[in-house]
Parts: sequence; C-alpha cells; structure tokens
Amino acid sequence: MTWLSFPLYAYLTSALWLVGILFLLFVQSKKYSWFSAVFLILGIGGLACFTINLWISLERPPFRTLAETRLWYSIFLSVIGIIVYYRWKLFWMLAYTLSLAVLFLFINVMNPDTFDKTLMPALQSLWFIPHVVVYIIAYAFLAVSSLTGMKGLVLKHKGYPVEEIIKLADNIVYLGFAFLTFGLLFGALWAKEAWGHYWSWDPKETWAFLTWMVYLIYIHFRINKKIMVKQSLWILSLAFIVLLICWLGINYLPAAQESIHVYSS
Amino acid sequence: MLLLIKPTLKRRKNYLKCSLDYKGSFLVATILLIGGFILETILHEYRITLPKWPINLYIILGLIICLFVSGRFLKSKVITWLSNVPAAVSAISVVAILVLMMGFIPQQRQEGFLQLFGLTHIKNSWPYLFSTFYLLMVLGFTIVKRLNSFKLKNIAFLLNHLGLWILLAAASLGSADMKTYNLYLMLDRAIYHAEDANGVMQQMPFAVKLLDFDIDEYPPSLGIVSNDNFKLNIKKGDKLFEVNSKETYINGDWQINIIQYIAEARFKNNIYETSTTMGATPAAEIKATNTVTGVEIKGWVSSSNFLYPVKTLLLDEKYSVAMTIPQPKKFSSKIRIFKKVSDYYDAEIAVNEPINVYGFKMYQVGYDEEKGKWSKISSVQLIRDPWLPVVYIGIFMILLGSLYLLWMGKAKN
Ligand code: HEM
Repeated sequence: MTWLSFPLYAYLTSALWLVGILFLLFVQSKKYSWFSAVFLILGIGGLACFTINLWISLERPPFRTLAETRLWYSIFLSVIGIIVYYRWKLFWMLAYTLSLAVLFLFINVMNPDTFDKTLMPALQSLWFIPHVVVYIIAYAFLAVSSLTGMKGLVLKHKGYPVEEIIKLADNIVYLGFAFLTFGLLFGALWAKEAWGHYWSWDPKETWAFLTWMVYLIYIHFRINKKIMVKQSLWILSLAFIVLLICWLGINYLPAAQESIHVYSS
Repeated sequence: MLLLIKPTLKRRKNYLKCSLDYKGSFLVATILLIGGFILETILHEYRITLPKWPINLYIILGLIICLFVSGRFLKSKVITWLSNVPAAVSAISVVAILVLMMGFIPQQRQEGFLQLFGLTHIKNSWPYLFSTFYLLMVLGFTIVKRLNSFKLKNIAFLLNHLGLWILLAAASLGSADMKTYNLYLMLDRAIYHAEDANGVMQQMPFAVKLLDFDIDEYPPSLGIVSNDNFKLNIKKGDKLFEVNSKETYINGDWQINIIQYIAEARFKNNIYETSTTMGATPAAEIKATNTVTGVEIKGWVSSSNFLYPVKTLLLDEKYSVAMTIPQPKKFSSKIRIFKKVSDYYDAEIAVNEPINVYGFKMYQVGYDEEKGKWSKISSVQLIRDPWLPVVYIGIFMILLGSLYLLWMGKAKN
C-alpha cells in the first residue's frame, strides 16, 4: 500500500461521515441515532484500514513524516468528536471535528508522501510510538478545546451565556494538557537516551515548551471561574495558533533550519 | 431586592480586586523584564555563568529555607500576593514571552541590536535569569502555602507543582555540573584523551579501544531520473523500486525487471561480482523494456561511494535508471574499556543504546561519513550529569500528577 491509493480511502471516509452527519441533521430521532454512528465509525474504520496497511508495507511505524502525522490526527480528531457527541450530545462539535479531520485528509490527498521505508537510527526507539501518539492525541483534544473556545466567543459576542461552554472547554483542556505534558516529558526521557541531553532548546522543543506554557496560562487564568471569561476564551483561541506553528509551521521558521525535529518530506 | 444586588456587588468587588492583582503582578513582571534588558545592555560583554557544585547546592538549599521561613509569615502582604494566581500567570507569561522570542530569533551570535539586548543568547541573559527566578519564587510560595494546610486531596497539586519546582531548579542550577566529552575512537587504538566542551583535551580515568565499527543499511531503491538534472521522475505519493523485488516496475513507457542484485559488489573486468573488500557497493543488473517501441536494454546500475562513482543505465535521450545511496539503519561500535591494562571489559554501543562507563554515560554519535560503513573512526560522547536523578524525580512527579489530572479531570471542582 502506498499513498497512491489514499485518495480512494479519503473519499470513502468523507462520504461515510457525510451520510452520518446528514442523517443526524435531518432525521432528528433519538431512537435512530445509532444508525449514523455506524456510518461514522465505518468512516474511521476506512482510515484505520489504510493506516494499518501502510504500517505493514512501510515496515516501520508511520509517524515519521508530516503526512503520516496528519493521518493520525484525522483519526484521533474524529474519534474524539464522535465520543463527545454521543456522550454530551454536542452536534456542532461533531460537525467541527469531522470538518477539520476531512480538511487534513484532503491536505494529504494534495500532498502525499513518497513511500520511504527508512527510519534514521535516532528514531528507532521504544519511545518513538508513545511520544508521537501522545502528542497527536493532545493536539486533537486541544484543537477541540479551541473550537469550543471560538464557539464561546461567538456566543458571547451575540450576548448568550457561556458558562456551560467554557466549562466544557476547561474539561477538554485538562485532558489535552495532560497528554501534552506526557508528550513533552516522554520526549525529554527519549532525548536523554538518544542524544545524552534531555533538553537542548532545539527549535521544536522551544515551541513545544511555549505551547505547553500558553495552555498552562489558560488553566491558571481559569482558576477564578467567575471573572474574565472573555479573555480566557481569547487565550484559548490564540493558544491553538501557537500549537499549529509548533506542529506545522516549524519547517518554515528561520530559527528552525537546524532542528532535528523538522519532518522529512 | 437586596438579595439580588448583593452577589453582583460582591462579584464586582471581586473583579476589581482581581484585576488590580493582575495589574500589579504584570507590572512587577514587566519591571523584571525591562530591568533585565537594561542590565544586559550595560553588561553586554559579560556572559552569565551559572555556579557549579557545591555553590549551586547551597543556592537551592538557601532558596528552600528562605521559602519555608517566609512561609511562616504567610500573612504578610507580599507573600500572599506572591502565592496568588495573578502572580503565577504573570510569571509564566514573562517566561513564555522570552521563549517566544527564542522561537523566532536564531540563537547564535550575530552582531547588532539583537546581540546587544541579549536576544541572540536568551537562555544566558539577565531578563531570562530574572524571570525564571521570579517563576521559581512564585511557584515555591504557592507550594509552601499548600503545604501549610496539607490535605490528602492536594496530592495532585503537590505532585505537579513540587515536581515542576524540583525539575526546574535541578535542571537550571544543575546544568553547570554537566560534563560532556567527545571521544574520537580509531580502530584498534586505545584512547584515553577526550575533548571537553571548550575543545581542550582532557585525560579520562579509563581508556577506550574501538574493536569494530559496523553499519546496517537499508537496501537501496531504483528510480528513473531525468538525464539533465538527475531529478527522480516519480509521481507524488508513489514508491521507488526495491532492489529485492521480483515484480515488474512500470514508469511511463518503461518496464523494469531486476535480473540480479548484489548487496556488496565490486566492478572488475567490466562486470560486477560479489566482494567484501573495502568500498564494495550495492549493484543490480536490470532489464528495461520500452512498451511502445519494444526496445530492450540490459545493464548494471550501482550507487556511488567514496571509491566508486555512481553507475546509471541510460534508457533514452531523456531518462536513465539510477540507484539511491543506501541509508543507515543502525550503526554500532564494539569497544573495549580499560581501567588498567589488564583490567578491561568489552561492550557495544549504538544510537539509542548508550552504556554506563565508570560514572559516565557513553553515546554513539557519529563516524566517518565519507567512508560510510567502511569507517575506521567512531565518535562517541561521554556525559556525566550528577543532577539527573533529581531531574528524573521531578519528571516522574509531574507524570504522576498529570495522570491524576487525566483521571479526575476537573471533577474535583
Ligand atoms: C506542571 C505544571 C502545572 C500544572 C499541571 C498546574 C496545575 C494547577 C491546577 C490544576 C491548579 C488548581 C488546583 C486546585 O485548585 O486544587 C493549580 C493552581 C495553582 N497553580 Fe498551578 N500548575 C502548574 C504549574 C504552575 C506554575 C509554574 C505556577 C507558578 C509559577 C503555578 C501556580 C499556581 C497557583 C498560584 C495556583 C493556585 C493555588 C491556590 O489557589 O492555592 N502552577 N495549578
């Protein structure tokens, strides 16, 4: 399996998700919402199928390139969206996460990777999989929290109460932040094994630390629940920009040209 | 009526007090930052060096005592303020601002105002020193305040905050005790001098001899390249042709089959033959058929190395077949470590598989890249980091604290 067959899977998954979403939108019956769950989960199954096949034919974990991380991101994002929908009945959340997941699938259709089995020695470590998986889960949660934050800003702007929505955002940030902390610390433990230094201020490390601190600011800003709700929502929305720079933008930064973390393409 | 007004009044008061706290905290943080930058321009030729053992230990102990003693006077205004959320937010924010600058400005010497304000060496600058110190103090007071009224349900709070304090203190104040030596090993020679961080040769308490250096390589691939610029002609997302493949590779009008592949070959009397001599390269004999014209071409391709130039196979005026240079999968050194001439043991190191040697950790770093797998040199690094156990304690405390956050979410509030 190479990326050449990816468009097929991407279209199939998007179509299945679309059916699931449309069903929820037009058949607003609680009794039959399991029906759309089948379509949504089948969609994830399609992606999982591609990923497993890719993993087998690459003979290495598919975590090395940007397109590979985007693939995982789409999977985790859609899983989170579906869980949040069926647990808290937030339809807009499902719609947003699936749109974001589809966006990343289509970036991959436009920008597939060249099939490359090689994995440099430094990446051949037990830490490789946990480090990357934990980070992608964190990113997926934090993306969802920022979507929630932006929704809150819109509601606030229109004069609606936002207590409920910011409470939801807080919950998701806590989950995402815990995973982010794992990712950061796993990275440090791995770096010690691979390079002898747990922290070397490599540009990716610098940005990862910054991302972590911005969410830390949000968490502490929110300890006094009653006040400065609007500012909190802004911090949450902006934090996501820092996260995106850390993940995707780092390849283009002047300060990052010598990074050991720049994804190969 | 009164019942309705009262809470809003209280909330307003609360809001006012809190926004005052934020203004005050950010004022202090900004003063620290600006003061740091001013000091940096005044002392711009002076480089901060963090104190070594045992001074750094005294500083850490001093800090802890200072935090606890002043914790006794927690009622005092300054300390209450220093252990509050606004102070925490301001402290994390100033550090974040400096890290943000680090994320945009390359951290290497370049003349100009960036250099003058310390922006090219932020982690050794005064503003950074001041703001991390502020962070440590605020975090410290927060912890002491909680410790004074310790309850079991504070355990997650303590794991996170105390863990972070330990991690930050040990990593920053301990960094001066970290010693790194580069050792350049040569085949069959016992080496006991290593280069320290300043490029000075130092004698080690033991000697190391390189017995063997070895590279495992991924098998190379074949591809069709354009004759004028040597660019691979490949569709985005497609794969190259594996040398071990039994299948037919189709690229445009050309069909390619592999007749034989030799992992280590040498070119002699116009043919490639198996060989284990130095400089042997992978080589493949291939058959290319043009599906339109029916032309059939047979020949050898091989990748280049320090001894042999690349050998491609010309298909037509536009394209040739070429082989990629094999990528290393694993490189490792077999070494013998001598305490004395008669007292030695053998070991193997590889990337991601360091070993312990008399209080140092030894890492495989590099080799003679031009010679590749025929390298007779292996460079290794010896690192001694006495504060590492403390840093690890901090890391594991935060890991546990985060696990707790994950488990409980915000439910406790
Ligand atoms: C690993 C990093 C950190 C995590 C996960 C974390 C998490 C938390 C959480 C969950 C709370 C609320 C706890 C509760 O109310 O029981 C809290 C409170 C607080 N944190 Fe942090 N924090 C971290 C780092 C910091 C830092 C660096 C500072 C200060 C520089 C700080 C200062 C505070 C303060 C002042 C409070 C309020 C304490 C109180 O009201 O008694 N924290 N933190």
